[in-house]
This record gives sequence, C-alpha cells and structure tokens, in this order.
Amino acid sequence: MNKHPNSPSAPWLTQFNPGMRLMNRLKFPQKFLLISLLFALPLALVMTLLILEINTSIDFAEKEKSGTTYLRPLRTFYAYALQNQILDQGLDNVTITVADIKTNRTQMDQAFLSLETTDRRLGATLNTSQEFTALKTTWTSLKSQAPGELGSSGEDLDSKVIDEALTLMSKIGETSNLIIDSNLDSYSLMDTVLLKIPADQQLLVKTLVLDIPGMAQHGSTAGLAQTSSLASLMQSNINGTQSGIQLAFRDSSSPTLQPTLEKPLKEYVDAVNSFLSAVGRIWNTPTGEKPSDEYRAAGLAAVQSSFKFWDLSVAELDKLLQSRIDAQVQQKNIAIVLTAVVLAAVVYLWIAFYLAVMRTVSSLGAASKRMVSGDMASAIELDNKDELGQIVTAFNDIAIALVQASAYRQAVVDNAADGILTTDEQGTIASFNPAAEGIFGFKAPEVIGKKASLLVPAANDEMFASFSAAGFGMGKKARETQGKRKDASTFPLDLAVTETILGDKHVFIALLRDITDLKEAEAAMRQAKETAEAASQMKGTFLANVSHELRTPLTSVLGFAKIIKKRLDEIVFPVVPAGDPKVQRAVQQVNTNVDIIIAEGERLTSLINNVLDLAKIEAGKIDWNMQPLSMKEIIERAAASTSSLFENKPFKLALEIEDGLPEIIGDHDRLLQVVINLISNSSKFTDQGGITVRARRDNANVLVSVTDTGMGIAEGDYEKVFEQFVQVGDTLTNKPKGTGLGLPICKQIVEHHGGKIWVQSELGKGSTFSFTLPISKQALEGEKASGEFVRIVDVNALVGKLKAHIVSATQSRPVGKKTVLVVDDDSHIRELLRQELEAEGYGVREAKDGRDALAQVKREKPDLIVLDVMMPELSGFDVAAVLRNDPETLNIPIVILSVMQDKQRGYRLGVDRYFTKPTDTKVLLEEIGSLLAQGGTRKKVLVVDEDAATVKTLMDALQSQGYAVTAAYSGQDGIDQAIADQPDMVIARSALSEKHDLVKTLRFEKNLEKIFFLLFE
Amino acid sequence: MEAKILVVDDEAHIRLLIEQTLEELEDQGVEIITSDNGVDALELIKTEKPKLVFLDVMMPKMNGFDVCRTVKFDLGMTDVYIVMLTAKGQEFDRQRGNEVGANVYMTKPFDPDELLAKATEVLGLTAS
Repeated sequence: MNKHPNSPSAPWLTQFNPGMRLMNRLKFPQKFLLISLLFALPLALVMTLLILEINTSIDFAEKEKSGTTYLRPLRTFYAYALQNQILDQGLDNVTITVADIKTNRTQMDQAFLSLETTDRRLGATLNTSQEFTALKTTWTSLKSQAPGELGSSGEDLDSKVIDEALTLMSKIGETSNLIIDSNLDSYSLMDTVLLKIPADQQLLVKTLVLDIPGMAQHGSTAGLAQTSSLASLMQSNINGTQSGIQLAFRDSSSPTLQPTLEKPLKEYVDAVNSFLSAVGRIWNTPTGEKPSDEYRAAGLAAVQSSFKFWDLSVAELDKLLQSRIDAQVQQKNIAIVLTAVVLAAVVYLWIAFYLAVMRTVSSLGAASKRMVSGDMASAIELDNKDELGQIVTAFNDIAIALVQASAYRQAVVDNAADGILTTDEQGTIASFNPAAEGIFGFKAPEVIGKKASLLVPAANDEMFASFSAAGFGMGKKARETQGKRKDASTFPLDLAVTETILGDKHVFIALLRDITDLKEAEAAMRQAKETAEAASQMKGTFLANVSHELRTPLTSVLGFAKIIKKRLDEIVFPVVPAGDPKVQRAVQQVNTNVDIIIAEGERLTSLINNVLDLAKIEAGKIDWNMQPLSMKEIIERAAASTSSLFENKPFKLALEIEDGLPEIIGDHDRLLQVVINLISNSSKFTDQGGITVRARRDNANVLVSVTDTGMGIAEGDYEKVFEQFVQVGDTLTNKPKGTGLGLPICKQIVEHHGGKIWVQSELGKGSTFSFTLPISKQALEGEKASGEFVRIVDVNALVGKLKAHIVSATQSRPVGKKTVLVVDDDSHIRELLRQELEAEGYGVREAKDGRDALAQVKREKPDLIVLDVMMPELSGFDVAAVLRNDPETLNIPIVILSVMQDKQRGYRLGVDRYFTKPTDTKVLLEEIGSLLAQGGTRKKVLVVDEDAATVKTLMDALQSQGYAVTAAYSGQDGIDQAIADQPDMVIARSALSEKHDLVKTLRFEKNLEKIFFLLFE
Repeated sequence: MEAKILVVDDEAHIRLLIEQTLEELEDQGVEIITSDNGVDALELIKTEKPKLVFLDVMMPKMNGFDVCRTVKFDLGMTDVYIVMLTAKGQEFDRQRGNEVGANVYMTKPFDPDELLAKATEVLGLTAS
C-alpha cells in the first residue's frame, strides 16, 4: 500500500500540512490570487516608499527653488535699499538731488510691490510672515519720510530696512531648506548668494558712506580702525566666497557652473580688491594732502559687480536645483515604469500559469467526460513537461487500461452465447448485446431506451425493480418465462436477473437464453421417457399376469399334491393291507413321489418369486419404502427368521454388531431379505465350523458381512456368483440348492441403496459375503453437529432432528403412576401392550377404535396415547388431528404404532413418535418413558433470523408440529430471548449466528449449556 | 350351527382345491358355497351371509378388492371375515387389501393346511 499522497513522508514536511490543506481547499484562481497578493503587496510597499522618498527629495528641491524665486525680488529691493542709503547719506563730490532720492524710492517701492506679490505666493510656504511684516512696516515708515530729510530716526530707518531685508533673506534660507542642502555645490552657491554677497554689499555700502578722505586728512585714529575693520571683514568675506565657489566648482556636476561664474567671480573679487586698495591708498596719503576720491567709483563698481555675480549665481543655483529635480523626477518615472513592467510581467506569467493548469485540468475533465460517455479511444495529448504532465501521463495509462478492460468486457458481452441486457430501476433497457439481438431479432438501437416488457411481456415495467418480490429469478437462478421477438412470435426464455449498485443507481443485468431447443429436447426426452415408462408398465403388467398365470396352475398342483398326501396318509395308507411287499413298495413310492412333487412345486414357487422380484427391481416396479433404519435391528430379525436353518447344525449363528451403529436409510423388508438371503446361502454350504454376521462402521458406510466356513468359491468366480441363473461349482457333483437368483437379487437391492456387495473366499475354507450401506446424511450431520452445527433446509428433516435430540437428551427414568391409553382395534395387540406397560408400572386404559379413544380422552385425560392408524370408524390420523387441534388435549404425547408407513403425515399432524408394526417393544417402552418424563410439555424452540418471512415459515411449521415457538429478529435479540426463555433448541440462520457468535455466547450461559442448535443457510 | 363359507375364484380347480381342503369342516355343520365371479359372490354374501369368505383378487366382472370394499364399507357387513387370495404378496396389494378392509391376506400358492387352520380359527371350531 502506498502512502497517502497528501501526507509527506519527511517529518519536517508535515509542517506544510496546514498550508496544503488550505491550498487543497482553494480553487486555482483563488490560489493564484492569494499568491499574487503575497507577492504584490511587499513590492508595492517598497515601490511606494521609494517613490515617497523621491517625492520628498523633489519637494525639498522645489522648496529651495521657491526660496531662490523669493530671493530675486528681495535682491532688487535690497539693491535699491542700499542705493537709498547711499543717496540718503550723501557722498562727497557727488551731487545728490531730492529727485534722485525720489526716483530711487519709487523704484524701491516697485521692487517692494513685486516682493509683496512674491510673498503672497510663497510666504506661507516659506513661513516669512513675521520677517516680511517687519520689513513692510519699516519700509512703510521710510516711505513716508521726506527724501533727504533726516528725521529723528531717519538714518536708523535706512539701515533698518537693509537689516530687515537681510533678516528676511536668512529666514528664507532657513525655511527653504537652502542652508540645509546637503549638496556642496548648491550649498556653496546658496551660502554665497544668501549670506556672503549681501553681507559684502552691506559692508561696501557702509564703507562707501563713511567720509574716509576726511578722516584720513584729519588723521582720525578711530576712522582708521573702523575702516580697517570693515576692510578686513570684506577681505575675509570675499575670501570665503571665493573658496566656497571654488568648492562648488570642484564638486558640481553641472557643466555650466564654472564657465558661467568663473569670470564674474574674478571681476567681483578684483573690484572689491581695487576698492580696498583705493581705500588703503587714501590712508597712505600723507596727512594734509588731499586724498583721492577714486575709491568711491571703485566701491560702486564693486557693488555693481557683486550684484552681477549674485544674479548669475542665483541663476546657476536655480539651474542646479532644476536639474536635480529633473533627475529625481526621471528617477521616479523609471521606478514607476519598472514597477509597472515587473507587475505586468508577474501578472502575465501568473495568468499564463493559471491558463496552462486550467487547460490541463479541463482537458482531463473533458477526457474523463468523454470516457464516461463511452468514447474510450481518445487519450489526452498535451505537451506538459511538469507535474501535471505526469498526471496526464498517469491518466492516459488509466485510460488505456480502462479501454482495454472495457474492450475486454465488451468483447465478453458481445461474444457471450447468452443474451445480456441491462436496465435501470424502471426497467428501461440500457444495453443489449449481439446475442440478445440474435434472440429477439431487434437491433440494439431499436430497444435501448424502451421498456424491458417489450421483450419479456410477463414482466410489468417495474419488473426489474420488483424482481425479488415477484420471485422473478432474482439472483443467479434462472426463471423460465416467455420472450417476444420482433416479429411478435413468442418463445420460451430462461431469464436470470442480478442487481448491481453503481454509485446510487441500481442496475439490473438480465441473462437471457432462448430455450426453445432445450424445450424441444426436453419434450423429446419426456416422450422417450413416457414411451419407456409405457413399455415398463407393460412389462410390469405382463409380469403380474405371468405371475398370476403361473401361480394358478401351481396352486392347483401343489395344493392337490398336498391334499393327496394328506388323504393318502390319513385315509388310504392305513387301509392298505400290510404284508404284500409289492403293495408296500408301491405305497412307499407313491409317498416319496408325492413328496417330490410337493418339494419341486415349492422350489418352483420360490423360483417364480425370485424371477418376479428381480424383474420388478429391474423394471423399477418396486415401491421402495425408504426410511431411517437400524441395521442392528434388521440383522437380529434376520437371525430370528433363519433360526430354523440351524436346528440340525452343530453350531448356532453368531452375531458381532458394533455398538452405536449409525442409522442408514433404506427399505426395511428388502434389506431384511438381503441378510436372510446371505445367511441362508451360507447355511446351505456350511455343515461344520460356523457362520458369523458382523456389522461395523466403515467411514460413511455401515459394513455388514456374513462369514462361513463352507466350501468356498474360486477367485475367478467372485463376480459370477452375483450373475443371474449362474451357480458356481460343478453342478453335476454339487446339487444346486436354491434358484440361483438370491445373490443377484441381493446385488440389485444393495446397489439400489447406493451400496456395494462383494465376496472374498478361499476354496475349502469358507467365504465372506460383505455389503455396505451409506450412513444417512442426517445421521452424519447429526454427528458432525454433536450439539453444535446442523445445516438444514428441509422442515421435515428439522423435525426429525428435534425428535432425535429430545430422545438423546432425556434419559428414560422411572415414573409415577402415569396413565397410558392404548388405542387399537386388535384386542391381541391391546392385551400385549397392556401387559408390557403394566409391567413398567403404568396404568393402562384401552380403546378399541378412534371414536372410543376420543370419548375416553374427553372423560379423563391420559398422560400418553399409543395409537393405531388403521381402525374402523375413525383412523388414528383423524384421532391425532382432533386431539392436536383441541387446546385441552394439545399436550398429550401421542405415539403412533401402525403398519402404515406414513411418518411424514404423522409428524405433520404433530404426533411425538411413530413406530411401525412389528416393533421392538423395548424401544417403544423407552420412548414412552422419555415422553412421559418430559411431562407432556411441548418443546420450546427459538427461531432467530432477520428475514421475517423465513421466521414465519419456520414458526408455522414448528407450531403445526406441536412446538412452542418464539421468534427473534436479530442476533442480539436472539441472545437476550434465549437467556430469558431458556428454549430447548435454537434455530438460527448460520450467517447471523456467526456474526453474533450466537452458539458460543449461549453455550456459556447458565442453563443453556445443553441447548440444541440448528443452523440453516 | 349353520356357518357358511363362501369360496370365490374364477378357476374351477382352485375352487375344487379349497372345497376339498375344507371338506372335513362340513362334518361340523359348515356349509361351503362357491362362486366364480365377484358379482355373484356379492349376491351370495348378501343372501347367504357367510361367516367366512375366501376371495380371489383377479376375477372377471368384479375384482376381489371391490367385492371386499363393498361388503365391508357399503354394506357395512363388518362381521364377515374376508381372506384375500392372490398372487405373490406385493406391498401394493397388501396395502390395498388393508384399505378395503380385508381381514387376512394369503398368497398363492397357499398351503391347504394353513387355509384349513384359518377357517377353523375364524369359525371357532375345533381342529380335527
């Protein structure tokens, strides 16, 4: 046996069992959906996270860009603010008009409006509200101040606007992520744009607005210090800017950065340096000499170049950010496309996988459907190389095997000599084989789908469903019915129907055979038999007539011869005068001659009898009265009958009969004839020694032998002695005694009983004639059963068993003064029985016929009745029937003692014992004793079977025979009831008994150890 | 005592044999009458009322069984002692004899002495 495919063999594989159970429950689309989800979810998660990160990065850059966007108007405004401060402070040698200031203020205001617009757009994003509001307030205050007029805090406002613009700038730097940019190039540019350049510009303007020449002329130490400080700040600032940009150049991947910014940076650095040199020269001018003003022009040039560089830097920064955004958007797009492609590929392959599986599965399904519908030929052709391919291969193997098996069966059905048809439960024909076509003349398509009653008119439409109920040959036993051919002619048909259950459908298979020929043969045989019987009848009649015709003259011859002898003896001879020797001799001769006539006449009679016997046996004219017999009884009787043969011999007949010899079935009188024949035969040839009759058991036979010490028979004559009219030995010297037909008759009789007869002999020493008779089946079965198993079907045999059991189980024992009613019309028999019964201590009453018997029973119930059958007025059977039908007398044991051999009838009527006259008185008395010991109670029988009909049949049969019967319909029921009822016997179906171990179970129950079982099948 | 014995047989020799056998009973007042067929025999039984009848089975007109049955059952003359005489005793004949109510059954060839003894016994006479 293979392991179950669902349970993997390796222990660790068992961990997959729950998963396998789950997978086995899901349909393929569900399986794929589940697995796809498990694959797609993490992928989607990873991709989402990636895209989110890219998006964050893009947002980051976008925010930076918004910062630079904001910075542009702010830078314009800041430039004008610086200009404004310069104008407000005024410069030496520069004429500044109010109109100049106003123009600058107007430009400043426009720049602020532009800035405000930008702030409305981006302020919320960059979180500038506080700083912008501060700038706006200051700018509004400054705007309201008259140009050139220095209010209480005028100068403060100019510087304040610049400071607040710078504050706003740095705020933007913070909020727009610019100052936390991790890329060095963009960070350096930002640093330059946002912090260094504006700071430089502020320092330039601060320096410009100082009156450096004045301070230098006066040699102001504080002025020098202030100038130096500003110059060094500027110097360090410009150095920082320079190194930052250099770093950006080195680090940036942008191709435009260095070419665009290198030159303006240099110009810017040079301009600032020129300015610082100019300033330095002023301070180096000797005191009193008027210092040059050229530094102012250099300062303004530096401011201008710083703005120029700032603008270019911002543009580059924008470019950098934009390219970074572009790169990331591209990255994002690639990620999305890649994800989509992967997902699409996965989905595509899954679908293809599913379709491949489903194609295999559906072609398997289609193929199996085809096969179920009968198309067995086509296997599946698929190019699978995977495990499903193995399944397909296996399926194909099965299909081929099925095709072969089916073809084989089909061939059997097609070539069967008998017609075979199958139907469903309604009797609709499903198949019809060629032999059936031949029988009925219909082609299969003409009858398939039609009712079977078309072919078997005796059956109604439900015949197949109710076969068993109708006793319609259900099972393998055929039933004879009529078939109807296509041409409406009918014919005798043997029909056997078996039922098969396929799934939930009942299929009936009918085997049909046209028995027309068989019937004709039977008829011919019957005819022949009748002819033979008629011939035999004629022979019998002839024999009877011949017998009669032979006997009649013989009767006269013998009879008159005897009368002559009597008359001679009594009347003639006494008056014959004595003395004359001639007369005396004549008297002597007449006497002898008459004796010879009588002896030969008797021999002739015996011969006729034997010839008749033999002829009758051969013609089957003998009515064999077969019944269970005791060989012992027959031998003893034969010995008694032949005792006269030994009167003049020096020995007596010896008997050696084994004890417990089983019964045989046979004809009592014929077997007695055989034994007598053998004994008398032996006695004829034996004058010395002895003759012994032996009987013993020999396997399934009883062996009887007669051994003598006579002259013996030559070996070559062993067979001859049993031949008709042959006597062995020298007939001239050994005068034949007997007719020569005795042994042939014995042979015929023994062989009729199924036995054998033979002789063993030694010349001069003696012979042994032996014959066997088979032991009766019942006796054999009874032995086999020995209180356990007996299989029977025949009710009469069953009753016989019951009787046998009661006899054996009950020892006859002394009884009290019980009354026995003896019913017989023969007063001698009544007298004989009276003496015998009274000697046993019973009270005896007598009735001379049936009517008298009934009257006596009514008057006073006897304990037992011995009943003759043939009586005037009312026969014994009638008496028994009356008594058994009256509850009052139902229980009185009845023993029939009759010459009538009709035991069956007796037992059917419910008599307890049946003896045929003459009977062995000893046995009769034993039986009477055992019946009386039972106290007249009827034997209790328990019938156990699941089939109610069988139970009823048995119950009826048993009850009609006088048993008290109870029934149980299941094994357990039977056990319970047996324990409760304590029956004398249990009759059960053997299958049921085996199933419930009925016999063993009950044997161990108290009081049931000796219960008697009969099992039937 | 006016006892009558009826001998019925279609064979004259047999009738003569039986008559001679029974001859000595005539001394004791027994009258022997004979008949050669069943029909006449039945008439004689009715009119003469014999105590004992020796009845052959195979006879013309009416066989012995029918005669016996008529006497025993139809006429109810159960006191008439009937001895059936026939060919070898087959079981079949014996049973039929029982059925028709015959009292005794004797096979041919019979022993004259036995026949005489039976008649003596039935008629309650003393053997000579």
